Amino acid sequence: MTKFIAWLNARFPFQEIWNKNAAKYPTPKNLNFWYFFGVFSLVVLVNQIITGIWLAMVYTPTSADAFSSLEHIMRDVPYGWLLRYMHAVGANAFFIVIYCHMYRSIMYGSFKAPRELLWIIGMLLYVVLIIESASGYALPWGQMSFWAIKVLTTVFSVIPFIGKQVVIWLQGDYNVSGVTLHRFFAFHVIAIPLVLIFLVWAHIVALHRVGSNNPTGKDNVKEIPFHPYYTIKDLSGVIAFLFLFFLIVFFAPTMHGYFLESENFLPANPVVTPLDISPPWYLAPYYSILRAIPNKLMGVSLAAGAIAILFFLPWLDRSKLKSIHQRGAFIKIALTFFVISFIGLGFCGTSHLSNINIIFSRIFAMIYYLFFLTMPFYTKYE
Amino acid sequence: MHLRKILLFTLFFLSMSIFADDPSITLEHVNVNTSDQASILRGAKLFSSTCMACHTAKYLIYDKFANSAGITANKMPLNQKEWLLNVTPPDLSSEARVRGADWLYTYFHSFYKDPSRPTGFNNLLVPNTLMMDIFVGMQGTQEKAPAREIITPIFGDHLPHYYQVLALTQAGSQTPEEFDETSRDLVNFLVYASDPHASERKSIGIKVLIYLGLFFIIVFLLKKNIWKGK
Repeated sequence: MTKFIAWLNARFPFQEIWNKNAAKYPTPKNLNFWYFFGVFSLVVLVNQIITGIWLAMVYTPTSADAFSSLEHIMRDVPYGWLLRYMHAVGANAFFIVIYCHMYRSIMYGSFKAPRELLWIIGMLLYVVLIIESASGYALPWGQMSFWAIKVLTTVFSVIPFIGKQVVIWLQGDYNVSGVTLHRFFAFHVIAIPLVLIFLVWAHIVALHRVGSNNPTGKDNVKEIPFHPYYTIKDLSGVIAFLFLFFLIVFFAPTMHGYFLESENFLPANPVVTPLDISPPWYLAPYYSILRAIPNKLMGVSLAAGAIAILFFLPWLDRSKLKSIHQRGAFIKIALTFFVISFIGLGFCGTSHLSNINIIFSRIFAMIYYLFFLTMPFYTKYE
Repeated sequence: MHLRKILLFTLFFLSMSIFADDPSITLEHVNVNTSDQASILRGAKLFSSTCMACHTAKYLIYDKFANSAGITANKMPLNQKEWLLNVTPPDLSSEARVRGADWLYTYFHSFYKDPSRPTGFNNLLVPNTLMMDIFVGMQGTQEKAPAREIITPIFGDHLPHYYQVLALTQAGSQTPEEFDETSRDLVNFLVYASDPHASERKSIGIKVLIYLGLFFIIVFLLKKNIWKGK
């Protein structure tokens, strides 16, 4: 066996890779609960890929058969329901995990030098993940799939001059149709996953170049090898995560309409508009910004800007200190307001449109933007 | 271009007429039990003998349990083209997912006599429904009782219950309690139809969670051991 391993290592750097990234990779000793979410997202990614492969074996990406092929998976394919529920709950879990992961980064200043590029790669991952989820949302070809994709593609029509062409280019047709479904399928199962996996690889390479930040934000904490200390700690966390994950998969897979909308169990019907077209909860914050602004172009710009502004976080925060524990009252108050505004926007985006809803959406949107735009000032004096 | 606009406009109004109605009555609560096999079977038999005169449940054609209750492709009106006012009755395979159990239960209860409708019957939950009151034989005839004073509570639901608006004017073959049970059977079956593996799912789920729980204890103890002294 040792001879075989030596033979392998002479031809491929297995031992080096293992030592560099695990056995001898120095990791701060004091990583807490919030540092689990990175490995959770990796687990969810693997779940999505594996269940996705099996779903694609039966799923038919045509407008005539997509809906019934999914019903076939849910009813007649052995354990098809399990694969589908794991994939759908996984998609939602992905965003829960990613939002916690991003929050951790903001809270402990993990986006700051020398980790700016790590943050940007992570933000790219987030954007690609949104595209991946939107393209996957179309595939069940239920009422919500159809109309949410219709709304989503129509959003691009506000781009000056070329908007209409962009919409047709995205749809591959003059309306959302089977052509759209088929190309979204291609994006969802091939193009975007490839980008996603490449970015995950880049994210890990960049992390291992600069090393993990830690809850104190200081650089002089004691470091221990990743393996066996964090492999075993992460494994225990992963099992606890899977416990919660399967609790939902087996006992509340639709999460009362938040993970799988009841409307989406009606086949797509281009002539009957549902009463309420709402995006999935994880995009609701941006959707409520979009809805709250009377001018369409402005609304779309501000909704997209809410994501774009996150890319600039490393340069907006001018404090030399990283972690929330080291820093003053300003950032603590600001971060609290930011969290309230983000959750508030999400709440507004998933509930019925009303005057009060619009007023609150505007207030929350303002707080959201103020958190970032005034950041250079309130972080300067720490 | 003009034609498309007109078409869209018409379709928009058509769709309004289908979805514009907010529920005007309170939904009654029904206790659904996905493992009550006897009730599901009674519901399935009622479905095959009554509902399938007009409705299909095409995603159940490979479901052995449904087949055993007489729900088979050759008995479904899959190829019937002519319907009242050209409205095809919906396929009911996933209806319970779309509407919810309470909605179905209330819908079954809230038919009433209305000579102005082509079927002779109307429904409180779906005004101007084109569905016939197939329950009239069992439930009896209900009529709107305009003279009845509806007392709605100041707090909580302001919408009246169906039985506050309707009065039973002619008894059917079942007592109201028996009809509640019949409706519950049918709802139980439709919930089963929309998610046939729910019962199996929950029983597997318990095993998976027990396994993960035990696995966690072992890994957690191992982690404690490895981290000792760190």
